[in-house]
Amino acid sequence: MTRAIRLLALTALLAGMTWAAPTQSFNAVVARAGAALGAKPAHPHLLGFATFFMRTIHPHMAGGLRLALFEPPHAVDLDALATQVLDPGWSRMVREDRRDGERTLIYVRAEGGAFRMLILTRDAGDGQVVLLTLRVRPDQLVEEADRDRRG
Amino acid sequence: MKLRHCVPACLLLLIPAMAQQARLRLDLPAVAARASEVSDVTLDGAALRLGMAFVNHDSDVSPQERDMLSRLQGIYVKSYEFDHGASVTDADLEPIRAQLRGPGWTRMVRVQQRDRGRGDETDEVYLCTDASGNIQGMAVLSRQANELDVVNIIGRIEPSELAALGGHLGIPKLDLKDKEKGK
Repeated sequence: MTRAIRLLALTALLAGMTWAAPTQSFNAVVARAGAALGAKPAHPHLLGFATFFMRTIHPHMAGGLRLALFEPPHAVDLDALATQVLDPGWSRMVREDRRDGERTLIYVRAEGGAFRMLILTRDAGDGQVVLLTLRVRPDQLVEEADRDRRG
Repeated sequence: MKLRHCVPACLLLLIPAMAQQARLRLDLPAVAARASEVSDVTLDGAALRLGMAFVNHDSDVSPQERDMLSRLQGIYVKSYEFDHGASVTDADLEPIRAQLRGPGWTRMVRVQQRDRGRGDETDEVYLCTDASGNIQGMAVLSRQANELDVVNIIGRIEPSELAALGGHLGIPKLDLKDKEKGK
């Protein structure tokens, strides 16, 4: 009986931990990135309108679209920034480097039946860092692509 | 502990070791330094599940192709693009070829196409098998005048299934018709 209670308690504890384990929110990522870069995030003008527009035109593509822009006072090592800012739940999917110095990292994490993508880009010219997240539902995206294909 | 208990345990320990053998280090720093663009695609864990989710909902993908994809544990692609005039030499590829000369790896296909306008194009497919002949992974080297793609696939995939993967999940399309086989 004691063993069963212990097992039950352990199960409840583990279930509680799973429930409590938060997916890293956009605001948390932005706050950590801001602290690491020593810069405050700027939110581009008309982003709210663009998101609304996207939601209307492509309702399944812009779920949870959030964007922040940083102008750090120094050169940024994007890989180091990602390591510092992102929790281990993110898997890196793409890393793209251009000779001019532009670098893009794309991360993904599963969230229930959907996925969240995080795109981190360092601009070649002024060293601006752009952080963007969006929620992706593959079933709906493929459905929409099929509809587009059929015309 | 009895010996018959040890054998399955040892076999279980060997599975990740074999998968590790099929995993290649795709970095080519000397090539990257000359490239105008370098892309590195890693599809494992959540990223592979995302790729699979797209494939699973795509009506163009057949059930056989879905079955093949479900057997994959990871796909790693490294692409190098060059400006006009720059190219890749055999010496550049040596770090990868050295790994492909290791135990378990065999070259299955080599296709060389000559195109006067665009220069030579070479595609090579390598298979990694375990001691029992089971496929553990695959590697593809695709070299064109202005581009080099190196693909490493981990999981049970037959060479005949490779064509179906081309163009999906970051893997370049391969034209393996009129192939010259040989090692």
